[in-house]
Amino acid sequence: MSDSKYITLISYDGFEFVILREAALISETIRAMLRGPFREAQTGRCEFGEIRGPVLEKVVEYFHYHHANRDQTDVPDMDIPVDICLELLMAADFLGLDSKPQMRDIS
Amino acid sequence: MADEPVLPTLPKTPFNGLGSKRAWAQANAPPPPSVSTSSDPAVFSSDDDPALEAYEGTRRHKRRYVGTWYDQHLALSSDSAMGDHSSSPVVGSSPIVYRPLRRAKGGARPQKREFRKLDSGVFMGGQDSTDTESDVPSPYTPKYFASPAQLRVSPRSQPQLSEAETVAKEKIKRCVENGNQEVDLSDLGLDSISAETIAPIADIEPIPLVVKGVSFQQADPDIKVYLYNNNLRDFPLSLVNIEPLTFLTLRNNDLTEIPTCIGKLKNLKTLNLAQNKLKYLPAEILRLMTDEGKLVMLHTASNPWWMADKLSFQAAIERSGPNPLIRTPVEFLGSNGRVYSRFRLPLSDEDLAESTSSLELEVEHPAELEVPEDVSYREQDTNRLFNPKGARSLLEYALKTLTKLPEPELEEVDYWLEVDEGYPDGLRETLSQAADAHRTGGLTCSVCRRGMVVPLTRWVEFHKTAGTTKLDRELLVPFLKVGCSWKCVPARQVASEVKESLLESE
Repeated sequence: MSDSKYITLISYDGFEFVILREAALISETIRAMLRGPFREAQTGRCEFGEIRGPVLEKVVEYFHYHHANRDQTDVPDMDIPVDICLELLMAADFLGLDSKPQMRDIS
Repeated sequence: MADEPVLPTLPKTPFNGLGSKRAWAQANAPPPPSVSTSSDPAVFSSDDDPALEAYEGTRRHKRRYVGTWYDQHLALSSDSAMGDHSSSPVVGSSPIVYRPLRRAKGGARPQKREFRKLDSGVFMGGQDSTDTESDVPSPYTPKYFASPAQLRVSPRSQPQLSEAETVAKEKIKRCVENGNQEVDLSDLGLDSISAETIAPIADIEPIPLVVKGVSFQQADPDIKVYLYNNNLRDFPLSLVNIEPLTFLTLRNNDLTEIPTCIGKLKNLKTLNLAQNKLKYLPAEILRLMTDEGKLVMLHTASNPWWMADKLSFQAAIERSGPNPLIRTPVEFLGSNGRVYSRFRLPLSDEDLAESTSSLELEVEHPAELEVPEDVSYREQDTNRLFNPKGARSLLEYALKTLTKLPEPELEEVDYWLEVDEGYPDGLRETLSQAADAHRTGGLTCSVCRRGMVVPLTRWVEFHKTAGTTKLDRELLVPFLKVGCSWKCVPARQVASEVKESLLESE
């Protein structure tokens, strides 16, 4: 099990993004990847075969945006470029970056 | 006369309209073939003579004719002068006969070289030329990733105005001319009315009454629009741009929904929505009835109100004191449109049929939420469900950008979501709902008044709209309320404020 503070996200066209593990854990999918008995959990490298580099970059930007604003109020909106919007919508859905409750929130 | 001023010379710029037209024509003209140096039209084309159809054939065929037609004619006559009759058997019947080159082999050789010196200056273009390819417009390719600036908006045909709408347009025109502030468009049989027709109403300016001895006063515009006894199916969205609108009647139409942007009509005093097909009203109308607006008269009779005939309000009323606020439990959704609460708000007819019996109404106390009220925003919460001021989900941001796309692009996105099976279920529905909401004025949280893309909570409140103290089923009108986070739920305080203001307006 890799205990590094950082993890690496890899897009299908080979771009690698090294980001804070804590920030990336808001994604349900990444959390499952890192906590399950998977290779990703040992290496700390998550490959996404469906996400293009520019889209993953925006996702990473969102991770940091969310991490930086986690206790803030009146957070300014994040700008999304139109050309990757649809792909980002897909990626957000895939990574579980929509508003939905976690089990611990409800219990 | 030498010192008399002379007119300055005219500027050399061409006449404006003509200039732009020319520029347009030039911009739209097909690009000239890159190889050509002459602007003369081709003299020698296959249209001139059917015998030249062979020109369109292979390269070999093309080589059969060299030079211009009159050169050919010259060559022919000289040939015939030399007595070469076998080369042109039809020479007597046609004035112009082209001499096939192949037949001119041998004795005609030196003459051919002569022709070559005579340059007609016309470039015919070979068959391997690529010029023609650039003239063919490239087929339309959907480019939903294109930025709005690059967007090629398809020219839409001007919608044909219906007869009724032409009459309406005429009436509006007359009102604008006469300064008549009462726009009567009733009984016209309108089934839709375009924004263009409605827009001039905003220009109506009252003609102030000038009386001797009274100081001149500019009267405030006080526009009244009568649209009763028509067949309108959709609320004319452009009506909300008429700011001084104080009176609006849409009685006896076929409206099924009132858009949220009606909240922009801050001067509206009377609104008649009776005899329509409305199921519920937006919470914005309630807001107009409070200090944000001036609405005092709201007519809502004879609409097929949501659940109105299936619910027993009596039990709910009996459980509470006088003037209770009755509402449904709260529905909790994720930003992808999934419902997470046990309670589902049955807004469509199919849902309604399933769950009529199980619906229990809440009366003037906060809902027994499935999510405890005191859930605080914790570090690393994945979303802003519990923090109405926090960062939104990435899905919401992407949806927000998509819904702001211009209409043709949005249709393309919608099309792709439908066609491509790679997209998850429900995403398209969420997007089209968000787009619809954006089109009709956007959603505003009923609790904290923030704008939002997708509602995360929904509930229906029943309010009295007619001025009576008796609580009757017919007088209770459902209002749909939406919240932008799971913390934005009806609270006792908010409810009582609205209720008080309602009582005041009576």
